[in-house]
Amino acid sequence: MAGFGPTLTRRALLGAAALPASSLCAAPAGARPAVAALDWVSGQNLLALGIPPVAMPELERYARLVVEPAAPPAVRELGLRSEPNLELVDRLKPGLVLLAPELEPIRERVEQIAPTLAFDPNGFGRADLLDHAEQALRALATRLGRLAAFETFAREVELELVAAKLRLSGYDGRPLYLATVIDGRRMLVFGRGSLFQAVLDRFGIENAWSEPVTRFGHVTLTVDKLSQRPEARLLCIGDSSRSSIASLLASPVVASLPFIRAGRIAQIPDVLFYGGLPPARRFARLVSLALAQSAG
Amino acid sequence: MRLSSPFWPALVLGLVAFAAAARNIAVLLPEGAGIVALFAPDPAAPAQMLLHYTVLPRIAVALMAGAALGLSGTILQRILRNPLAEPATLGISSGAYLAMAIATLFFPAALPQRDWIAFAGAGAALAAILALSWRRGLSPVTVTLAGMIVSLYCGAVSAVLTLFNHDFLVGLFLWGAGHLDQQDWRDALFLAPRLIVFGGMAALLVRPLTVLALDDANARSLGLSLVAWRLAALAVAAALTAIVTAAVGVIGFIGLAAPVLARACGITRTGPLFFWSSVLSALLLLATDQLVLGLPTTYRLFPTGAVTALIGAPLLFVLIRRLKLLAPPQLAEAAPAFRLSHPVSAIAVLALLVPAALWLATALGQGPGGWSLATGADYTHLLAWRWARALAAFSGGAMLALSGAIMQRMTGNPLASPEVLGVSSGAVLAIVALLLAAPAPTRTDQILAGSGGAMAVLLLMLLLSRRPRFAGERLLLIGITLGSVSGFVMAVLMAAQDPRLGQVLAWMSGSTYAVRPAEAAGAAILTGATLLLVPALRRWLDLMPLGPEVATAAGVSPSLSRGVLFAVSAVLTAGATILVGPLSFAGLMGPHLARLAGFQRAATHLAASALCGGLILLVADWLGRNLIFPFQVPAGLFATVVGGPFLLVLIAGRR
Repeated sequence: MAGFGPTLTRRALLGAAALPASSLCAAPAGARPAVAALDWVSGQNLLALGIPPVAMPELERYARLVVEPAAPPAVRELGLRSEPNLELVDRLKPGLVLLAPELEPIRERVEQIAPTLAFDPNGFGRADLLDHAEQALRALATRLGRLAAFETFAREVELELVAAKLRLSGYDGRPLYLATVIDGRRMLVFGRGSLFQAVLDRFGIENAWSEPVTRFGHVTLTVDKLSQRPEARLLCIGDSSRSSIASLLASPVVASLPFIRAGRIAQIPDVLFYGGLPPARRFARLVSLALAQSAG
Repeated sequence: MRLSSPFWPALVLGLVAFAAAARNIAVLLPEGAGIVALFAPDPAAPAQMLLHYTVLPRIAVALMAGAALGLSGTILQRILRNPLAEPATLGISSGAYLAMAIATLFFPAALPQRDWIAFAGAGAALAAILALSWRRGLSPVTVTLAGMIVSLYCGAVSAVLTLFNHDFLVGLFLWGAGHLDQQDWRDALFLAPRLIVFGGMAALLVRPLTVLALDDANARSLGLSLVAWRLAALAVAAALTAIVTAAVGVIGFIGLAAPVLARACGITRTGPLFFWSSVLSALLLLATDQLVLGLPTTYRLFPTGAVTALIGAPLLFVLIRRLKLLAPPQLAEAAPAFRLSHPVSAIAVLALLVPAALWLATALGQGPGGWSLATGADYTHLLAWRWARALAAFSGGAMLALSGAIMQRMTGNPLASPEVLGVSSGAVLAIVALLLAAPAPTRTDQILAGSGGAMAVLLLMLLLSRRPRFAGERLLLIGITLGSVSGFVMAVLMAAQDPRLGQVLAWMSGSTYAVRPAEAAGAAILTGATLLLVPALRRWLDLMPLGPEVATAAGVSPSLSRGVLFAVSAVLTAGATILVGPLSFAGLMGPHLARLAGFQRAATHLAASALCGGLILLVADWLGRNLIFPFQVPAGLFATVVGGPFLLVLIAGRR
């Protein structure tokens, strides 16, 4: 088996490298080779470049949790994110397949279908997540011969960030706890190093959680741990947990927290906490609207 | 006070718990506070609020939950006469977990009534077990088997829900991992009255249970109504587990460990055993929990329920050699009279089914245009995608079933299935560790890590099995302990909301998705080679279920035969686990199905087990790939969800 490895990889690489050139030669946009996305992040970033993937996993859940950019109805369902259906990908004959680094174990098999590209805009652990996300997307756009589409999208993101910053010009400067309520007792708190905080850094808003976080910038906590910064504000992310917020507030310890008593609590709908520029853009808009309303 | 008395371990645990709790409170309130703060905290003083609403109820809940679980485990081990029995064996925790999963996904409005949902799930699981074993007079073997299958079944259904909805089930993972943290006194007030009622009922059971621990004939001759007392004891044990699960989630291991510890300390009579098991497990849980609470805040949230296994495992390991074993229920007791008159021809028929099933699984399937039977060039093309998965499913199932059949015959314990060897836990631990260490491991990395983990455990178990002190059940207890430890690692991973969780979940549930052709071929060769070995092993396996005396008298060397059989089944389990994940159900179902079908002698039983196990997984893999195309259900899960009820009906219908 090992003998086939290098040959396949080389062919895949050549194919992937040859792609932009061949797609530039083909004049009409419709003749571009189809791209299949094996994960949400790839699909989301392709959609941002205006290239709907031929297929993507868990479309219904994508519409509910990731929301934007929306996938058009022509995109085919690939099944679970953990096991995108390779037989179906093969039948759809894509010219390129994008996959997330966590799908590395199946890369060898995917390369038998089409040239394969691992796409990772997350860059967790780097100094500037947004900068890394932008570079990863630019590299992808270059590969796909869609640099113009990338420039447009990047400009839109920049405008969104500026608009959000303007909206927040009257913000009272309180540090922010960012959390998704899990149940009545626990929450997933996003700290420094998360994509969300990378966006808030642009607005100069401090994160109230200063303790250690995972590689992905978040941590699961019991609610009483939020008692360290009484002057803070709480931003709840995601509306799948609406009923949990009520039971959270019913806890005597939480109810005694100063920022809860003062009603400094805001809420925004679901945003994916990783995935580069598209979720960052969504978060910037939602957070600025919510905070401008609650603290403006 | 003799040194072997449980007083000393209890004292040590108690001191550890007290020291840890004192330290935790001192950290919270460095300047101290009046006694009033305990009962009426000042709402403006956060530290007093935390002491009153989080620290104190947590201590109370840990003590009560621990005592209830220890008591429940003792009752179950007594009544089922099986040292491997614990609250989880009866499927009570997994029934509660499934009910919570269903409620979370489909009836979120009902979630504030968490206690009652969990309680209902536990009750339904118990009712299913009772209904299934009623006809056999609630005999220990039937109850245990039914419990194990109900447990696996609820676990598999929850796993399917998890696989498809893990984005929405984080709260459930956390609950399931057994966190004892409290935000008010609600759980403590829920547990206290119920613990008093059910604990009192357990006290009334001491005398009947002493008699029930004897065999059926003895108990009956003493004039005891077997069914009535068994029903009462099971109900009390189940209720004790259910209240704990409802309040704080699934806390594994402690219900198994505490009674074993108490017995290892020399307690044999039922009354003292009840007392010491409750005390030991209450203190064990409290000590663990206070140590967990004292850990520095990092990004990981350690669930006490799982950490208990980490602390309890070494303790069990040290004391296990002093354990006097209960006589486990013998398979012979459960064996049906039915025997095939021509088992070899039946095997031939089964073997002929294999190529037919392999062809069907590769040719017939769903594509973008619906169902189709592929032929010609189309078939050759599809075969490239399908053959490795089909062959891996068959070989994985066959290997696990062979391993299960050998284990069951060797130990005479119908609960012995490959995962109790601890070998698959070794593989799971290594693969999860790899995932945490490397951001994007390749398939080859995973296989190397899995093999390394499995081999490390295999060597450890082989070394231990050569020592008489670790013979038989004791070895299985160590294997189960390892299983608890790997459960701990999974729980931490789930609670940390790792975006790569989906892959681990899919692999854990027995998926052939990532199998490469060379791996499938290797597995098939390993299966074939083991089947060729069966004639050489059959004399041992025919004699061993008759007991060690008979076997030794017939000239079988116990250490040699055990060592060889153990190595064979461990290698098979390791191979299957690395290939398709730790899907244990085929290893349990294959051998039982083969025996129920009438294959009694070792050689035909092993061959039939392999064929049954292989065919079950092959069909499950095919259905899982096609029924909800393009979504896929892992073969191991599908086999359990569809095969579980079937096996239950077979067991229940047998007279």
